[in-house]
Amino acid sequence: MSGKAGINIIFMVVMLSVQGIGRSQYIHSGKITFERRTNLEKRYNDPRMRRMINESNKIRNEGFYLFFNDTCSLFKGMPDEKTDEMSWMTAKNSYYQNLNTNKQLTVLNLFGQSLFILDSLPQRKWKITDSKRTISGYECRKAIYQKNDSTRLYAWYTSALVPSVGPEGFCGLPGTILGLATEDGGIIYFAKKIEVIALKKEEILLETGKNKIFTLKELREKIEKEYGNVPWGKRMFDDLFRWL
Amino acid sequence: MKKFLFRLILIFCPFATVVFGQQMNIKGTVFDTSGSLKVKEVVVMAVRMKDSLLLKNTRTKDDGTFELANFPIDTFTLIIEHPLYEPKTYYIFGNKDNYEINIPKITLSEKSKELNEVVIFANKNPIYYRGDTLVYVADSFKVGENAVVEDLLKKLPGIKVDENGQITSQGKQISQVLVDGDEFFGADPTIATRNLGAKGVESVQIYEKEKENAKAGEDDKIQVLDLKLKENAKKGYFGKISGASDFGLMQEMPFYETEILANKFKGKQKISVFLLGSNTPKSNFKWGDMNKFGLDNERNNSGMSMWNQNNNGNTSGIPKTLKAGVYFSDKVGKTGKIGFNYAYYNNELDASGSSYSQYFLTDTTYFMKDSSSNISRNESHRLNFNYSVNLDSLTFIEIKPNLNFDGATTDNSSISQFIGETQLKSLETNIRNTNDSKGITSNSEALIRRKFKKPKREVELKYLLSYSNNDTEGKLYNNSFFTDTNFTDIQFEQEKTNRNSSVNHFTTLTYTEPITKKIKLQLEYLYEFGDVKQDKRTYDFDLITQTFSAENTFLSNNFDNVRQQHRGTAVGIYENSKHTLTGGFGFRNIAIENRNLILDSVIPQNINNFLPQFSYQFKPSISKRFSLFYTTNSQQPSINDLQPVPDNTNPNRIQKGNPDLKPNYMHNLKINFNTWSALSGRYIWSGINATFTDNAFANSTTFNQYGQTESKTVNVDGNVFANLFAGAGVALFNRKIEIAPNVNASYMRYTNFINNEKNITQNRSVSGGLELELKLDSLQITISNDYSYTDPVSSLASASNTPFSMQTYRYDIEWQLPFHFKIKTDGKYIINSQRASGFNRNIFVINAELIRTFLPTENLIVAISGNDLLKQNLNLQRQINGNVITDNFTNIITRYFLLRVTYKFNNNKSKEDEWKGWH
Repeated sequence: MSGKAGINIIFMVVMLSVQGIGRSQYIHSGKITFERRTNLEKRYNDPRMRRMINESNKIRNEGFYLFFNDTCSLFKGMPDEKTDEMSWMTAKNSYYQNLNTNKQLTVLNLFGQSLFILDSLPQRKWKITDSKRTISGYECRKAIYQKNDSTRLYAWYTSALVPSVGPEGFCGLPGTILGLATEDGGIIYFAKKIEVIALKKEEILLETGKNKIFTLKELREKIEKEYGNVPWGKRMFDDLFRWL
Repeated sequence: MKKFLFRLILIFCPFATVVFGQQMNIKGTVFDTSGSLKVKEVVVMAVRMKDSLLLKNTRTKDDGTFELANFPIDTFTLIIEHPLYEPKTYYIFGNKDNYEINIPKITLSEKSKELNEVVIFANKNPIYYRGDTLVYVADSFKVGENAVVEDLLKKLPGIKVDENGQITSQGKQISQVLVDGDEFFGADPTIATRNLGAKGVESVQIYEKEKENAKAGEDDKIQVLDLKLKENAKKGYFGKISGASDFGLMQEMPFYETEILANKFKGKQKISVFLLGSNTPKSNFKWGDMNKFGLDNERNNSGMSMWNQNNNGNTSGIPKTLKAGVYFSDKVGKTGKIGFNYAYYNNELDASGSSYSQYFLTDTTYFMKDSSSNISRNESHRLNFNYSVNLDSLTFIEIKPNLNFDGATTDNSSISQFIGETQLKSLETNIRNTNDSKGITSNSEALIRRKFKKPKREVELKYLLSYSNNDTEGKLYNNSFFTDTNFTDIQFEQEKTNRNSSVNHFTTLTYTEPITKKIKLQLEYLYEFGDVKQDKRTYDFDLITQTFSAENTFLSNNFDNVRQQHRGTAVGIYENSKHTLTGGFGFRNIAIENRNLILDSVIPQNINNFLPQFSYQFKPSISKRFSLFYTTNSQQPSINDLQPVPDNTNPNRIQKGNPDLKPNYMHNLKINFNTWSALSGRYIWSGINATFTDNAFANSTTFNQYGQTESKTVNVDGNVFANLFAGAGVALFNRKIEIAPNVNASYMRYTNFINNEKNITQNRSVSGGLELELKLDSLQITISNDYSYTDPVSSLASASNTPFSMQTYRYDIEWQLPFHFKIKTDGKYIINSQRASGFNRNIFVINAELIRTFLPTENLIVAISGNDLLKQNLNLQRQINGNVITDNFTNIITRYFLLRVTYKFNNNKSKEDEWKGWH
């Protein structure tokens, strides 16, 4: 009798402590360090470009930070330690999102030039799968985003991180995206480190300076008008809008 | 199963009220296992059944409630998920009577161990859905040895193939069969299913696709079966055959151009074959084709580049070109790459020309009129091999052997008239040279590179072998007729042999050590051993034996140049995100022995040089950079500059080597600034190049009373070459117009000796141009002009100091017309001024082409082209060399017409695109 009661008590304590952990496990603010691996061989089909790419430089690793709290998030690249001759083959964009106002400020890097876009948060159609994996200690569920006929992206998100944010402005899933990859594995974002910290205001700010600010539609139209009939121009801007 | 039933709660709630604009609305409250504690921040999401689309998601509030509203009525799963509890799934069949659902109490159950064993449908299952796509993994279904795709399809559950090859999947007809997303040999699906081997298929995918050109009311979705092939089954071919001729309508010898290019690929294995034959100035493939078919050596030897893809071909004489060859490349093992190529070249060129030269001396001026005819035939076989492999993640090796066999015959004749200051002819010569040469050359390379656990630490060992062996046999006929009858005319014949051989070994060991994150030290050691031999013999005609057996010892010698070089270089490199700074110096010792093997004399040289270097690069962004490079280097004189024996190949211009010649020493400075704004399309490029040379190789020339010369190579100090260039581009009217101006200025100062007097020549020249480009959808027009002005100043002979100028105007039009017609035309107008009389010719060359494409794929192209429609083409060149100005004219092919038929093909029977630049 007493034995049974004892077990019940122990069970209750375990339950309560589990619940305690459960509550604290939900994260609302922090800093995620992402690594981006770009396989240049998969990225570039052109034989001339391919000639510059060899076994030793075909994988480019770059670092990114995602700062987030319940209302806003900032995704930006780590500053380069040094320049190298392959650095122009990949671009680092920044995204500031405000979940309250439903706005996104995007800074696209076009061969060193910064293009500012202010628009509403992107609306993406996600497909949810049963596939799961653990990234940096968090269980993530795989979701699929079909961008167009030829491009499909995989995102692994965890519900343990509450804000609906992710790398390259990807959002809209019930949690934070810790892994993002193109289907062919050509570009992979992977959370390496998750720090649960309260953010300072200046950490989550993106300055626009005196630059011209486009809406996404305006920029697309401008480019369509000016580069629409130039084959290299079209490819360059397809690449520019890769994540949008 | 029990568990499944327990969790599967079907909800058909009947208590709905009618609402306009019906949308789903789900409410609920989530409780923990005890059923009493409300749980907040639990994920609640609605996922559509048919395609797993996430319709809506939310999290429970602090009071455990949630509401999912405003999404269309559908059949979906409601997933309630918390990291600590087992997820709960509700299947909800929404309809107009069932769109408002309230689940008052959702109790989460404890996460059980069993749940961890739930199979997650990974891609290894034989059949699975990926989004909307049904995927069959081909290897999971057994088929016979030589089975085709149709046999495989018959084995797949849910798929039926009838006797006509018609395929249905789950009762729906398949309208299209694709291979790797593309149509395979046209629209007939049986070509793919009955020709492709089942073994090559990795997976069979079935999905719906929007139908192209669907009529109103028609079902606009079609079922597609897509065969994804294994990597090694990816194979195909593409190519191009082109033939052109004027069929002898315009002249007796018909002009022709033939081109065959084909590539076959299978996985990583590629084979290309090529052939080009012509007797027009076209002697190269198009830049794009050389890239597309991977003809790397042809491209590198073509003189074309990314920036200059003009196929200039032969600019003088009447050519005949034949080149053919094969390229092969494949992957060996995991990281190994192997490549082989062979090319055969056969070029003939008949050039005849005339020139007028002015020789300005301090006391007098000579003139010379030349007319010459040169016939050359060259034949060569070129073999290249390369192999590279990563032995492990840190070690890379590469070997690149190369072997060329060359044979050449030349037959040059010239008639020269020497005219004195009084405009009277003093001497006329008639010279003929015939040569026959054969040789082998090899430039081979081996490299091993090793990286270390410590990033940026690296060792590289590189070995280069260059070997050549060339034998030339020749004959010289000379007749000299003097106007002054006191001199007897000179007439002689000689036979010459010239055996050249050279071996050079270069070994370079480079070690890079990172000192801090931003600072690296690079150490390099180079060892060179070189041995160049030249055995030159001249034989006079022996009247007794009636053969060329009397060795002319004055014109014969055997010479050997042996050198050993040690060079050590240390360079420090500082790099951060925007700045790169390098600085260092090298020290080298070169020990040279110039041996005269006939006299058995040796001239030893032992030279030490400091070789400093410095560079700075500033890169504020990827599209903006400034760079400055300062380097020093030293070059060896060639064996012809050293061999101390007169070369009377042209008896009017005797050239003699100098065994005392020292290597030169050069300071090079390069400054560049470029900026480009991708969005506006504006760009600027600019730069300065400057070279300062001490111990430069210069000619010391003595003139005899007719103007015939004897020259010797000597070292001179203080030669300068500098130029400054800048250009920009601005796009206007939505990039429909682009304006690009450019300027260039250059200064050259060099020393030579004339009759043992020092002569300093300074050439200043400026040029500028403007290009306008108009780009409309079907019409592209480019017009440009260039103006150049050259002012040569020679210190000894002020009479040669005559400035001259040249203006060039160009246009280029491409016009796409209806009915698959296209017109292309380009023209060039050149105005020459201030040249020798007869060489101030203005030239206007117009080329035009009318093109029509046939077949739905536009792969058959018929074109009529006319080159130099106004029959004005000339090759005129002015050369200024010290105190000599020469205006040259060479014959060139003028007007010709060609009817060209081109057929392009590939294994997909689709439009075979031209290579369109690199993006």
